[in-house]
Amino acid sequence: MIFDEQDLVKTLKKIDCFEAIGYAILAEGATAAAATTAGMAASSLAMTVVGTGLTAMQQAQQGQTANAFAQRNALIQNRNATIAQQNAEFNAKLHERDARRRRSSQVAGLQGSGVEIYEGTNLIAMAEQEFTDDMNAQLIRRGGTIESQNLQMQAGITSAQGTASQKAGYTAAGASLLTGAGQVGMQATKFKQQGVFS
Amino acid sequence: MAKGIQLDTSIRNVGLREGYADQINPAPFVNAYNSSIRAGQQLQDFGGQLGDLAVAEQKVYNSTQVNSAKAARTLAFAKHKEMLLQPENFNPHTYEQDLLGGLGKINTNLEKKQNPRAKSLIAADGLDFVATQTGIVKKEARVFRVKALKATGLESLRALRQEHINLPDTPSNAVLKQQIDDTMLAMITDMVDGNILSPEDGNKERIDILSIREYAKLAELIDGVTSRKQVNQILDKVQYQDEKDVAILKIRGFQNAEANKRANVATADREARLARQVKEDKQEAKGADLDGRIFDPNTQKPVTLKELRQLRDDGEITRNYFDKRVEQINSGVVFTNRPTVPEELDKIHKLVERQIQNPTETIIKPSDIQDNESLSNEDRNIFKQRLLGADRSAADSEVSTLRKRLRQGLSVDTLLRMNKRNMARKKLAKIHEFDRLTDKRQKGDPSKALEIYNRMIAEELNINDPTHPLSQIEVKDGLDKIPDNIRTTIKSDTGLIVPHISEMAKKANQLHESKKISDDDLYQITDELEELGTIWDQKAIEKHGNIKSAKKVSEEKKEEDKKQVKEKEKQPVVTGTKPIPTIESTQFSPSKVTPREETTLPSESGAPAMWELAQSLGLNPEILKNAEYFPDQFIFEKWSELLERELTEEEKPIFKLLMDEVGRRGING
Repeated sequence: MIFDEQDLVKTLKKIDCFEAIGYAILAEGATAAAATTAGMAASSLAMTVVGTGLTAMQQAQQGQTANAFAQRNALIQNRNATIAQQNAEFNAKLHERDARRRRSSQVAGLQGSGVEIYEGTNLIAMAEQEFTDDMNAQLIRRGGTIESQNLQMQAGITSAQGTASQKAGYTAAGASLLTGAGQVGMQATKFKQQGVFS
Repeated sequence: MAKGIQLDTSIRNVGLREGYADQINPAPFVNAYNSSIRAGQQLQDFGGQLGDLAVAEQKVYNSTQVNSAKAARTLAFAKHKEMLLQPENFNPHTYEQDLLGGLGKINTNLEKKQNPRAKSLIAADGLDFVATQTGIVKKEARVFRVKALKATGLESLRALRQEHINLPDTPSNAVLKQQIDDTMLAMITDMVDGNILSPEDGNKERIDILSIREYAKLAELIDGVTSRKQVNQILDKVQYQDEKDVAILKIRGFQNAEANKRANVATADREARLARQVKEDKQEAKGADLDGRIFDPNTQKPVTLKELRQLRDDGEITRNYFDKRVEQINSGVVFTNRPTVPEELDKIHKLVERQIQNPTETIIKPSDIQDNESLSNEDRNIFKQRLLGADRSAADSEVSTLRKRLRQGLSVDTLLRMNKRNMARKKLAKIHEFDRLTDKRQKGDPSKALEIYNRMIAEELNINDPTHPLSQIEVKDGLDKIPDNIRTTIKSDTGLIVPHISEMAKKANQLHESKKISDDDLYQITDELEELGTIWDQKAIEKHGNIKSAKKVSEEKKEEDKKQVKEKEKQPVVTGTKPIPTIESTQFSPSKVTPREETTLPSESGAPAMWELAQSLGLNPEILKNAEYFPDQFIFEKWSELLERELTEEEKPIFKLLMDEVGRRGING
């Protein structure tokens, strides 16, 4: 602290501008003491109003900023979801191609050896192999879908959080305004009671 | 290619989260506002603290105003109170109202030009002050009121007591004194009942009154005591006197008892001697009166023997006197008057004065004077009356001296020596008047002898007369003080300046009514006119200025009317005789009188025959005015005058008129 309370009071008492403000407010014939007090009171009211406004405005802007970043993050998460979906599809397709090659190779090898593969157990084995490959490909796709959906869901939450932060900012601003108004009103009432402006 | 183309167909799987974009952390951006928010909040707090400071300052300011107002109120209240307590402003009956009313005004004035808070604080402080002071002021005002009522009451008591003291102790005042006492006692009771007077003070006042009343009664009783026993009996009943007063009263009572004893004896003796003396004096006086008639050859009422016997039988004259006068009457002695022998006059005068100075001795008696043949009748009467009329006391010396001076001043002896009887008689009448006014036995007052002497000498010297030169000088001075437009005079025939007072008063009033002179001027003029009136009374103005009052004019008119009626009735009987002349004095109408106008006597054109008659006798105008009413003596003397000489032709009708008048009036000289 540069000033303690007593220093502040001493300093303020020396400020002649308070007296000038008081003379401007009060009726003609007011004493210097009354004018100083009235000027001080008017300044205090002005400071409280300005401080309240500043606080409220900053709180509102803070909420807006938080919201803006949350929306941005939600967009990123949605994009990541799309990427996860695309990655799973890619991997599934890659798996399907590899499985198909492998089965084709096996068919070609067997057929080269004269094994009839489209009959009997070979055929069943072949069909089982195809089914397994397909299932794996689908599992890959499912993993991507789940990831994508999770990310989309997270994006929604993030967006909602941003909106909530904005609202919270406005609420805080409103609360600050109300508090400030109450404070100003209370001060004005005190001043009136003490006859500062009379 | 032995084995063909070796293709690498392997494709790597992508990671599940490959290609993900990182999320932005918003905290730095969001937190960046915190400082601004905190700054706003601190500004708010600063405003709040500044406001608190302003409120604190205002409280100090208000407190200062209240304290200042309190001091101003106390000072103003003290000043107002001091002003109300000044003797010229102080009224104990309105003191409370005035003081509290003033305090209300002071409070109202102090509340002016103040902020609402200070005003309410000052008002509350003012009410507190009023509440504190009201009780004090009420107590104080009650003390003042009670003191004032007490002072008024005690002042009334003192006035009543003074009145009681001033009233002479006569029987007729006894009831009034009792009423005053009762009133005082009732007042004291009322004052005690009304808490104006403390019971102790009331009792003290009551005892004072009763004490004075008792003392007066005791003194009265003590004055009349004739024995010590009576004194003791009276003083045994004393209630309100202290021992010292009782002791004084006892001594006084004892002295009175002795004195009264002696006085009673002396009084009885004195009364007996006085009664004897009074009887002798009466007899002497009666004798002197009879002598006057017996020895007066011109008396209209001669003394008869029958009258003398009756007077003797009634004891009004002495037997010796009766015998002596009867002898003289029977012997036919006529006591004619004779001249006084001057030496005898002095001798008798000295004896008479010695007798008066020494009342206890017998130096000369009235009978000695009566039988003295060297004195004229007049001188004998004078000496006898002097001897009988003088107060034979020590205090008589002053009266005697003044009487002697008066006699000298009036030249009585000179006139007697010159044998001027008529004039001497008039002068002696004055001496007798002096005797009557200074003789206690004739209800005269010897203490006023000097005053009477001065008046008579002034009359003799004519100083009091407006015609006297001194009076004329005074009149001139007085007239000079009256404004020209009011001054109104008349010049008499003899050249006297006669102030027309009634006319001047009338003019002064007219000018005052028309606002041409002030109230002060009118008062001054009225004073001057009153002063002139002491010299010139209405009668003198009428006489010398030929002015008559409205009343007199009216009376004369009535008289004239009556005369005319009588003359008409008489006319058939006295046909041919000359009418009796009447006197009509002329008069001025006030309207004819102008300021500074010197009016001359009106011409005799309208005057009656008597006027002509008077003129024909060579009378001067002054005498003519004096003869306005033509007394019998005047008519007779003028008639006698004409009778003794030979008449001219002009005087003959006048003589006839005078003779007719003498006959009509029955004047016999």
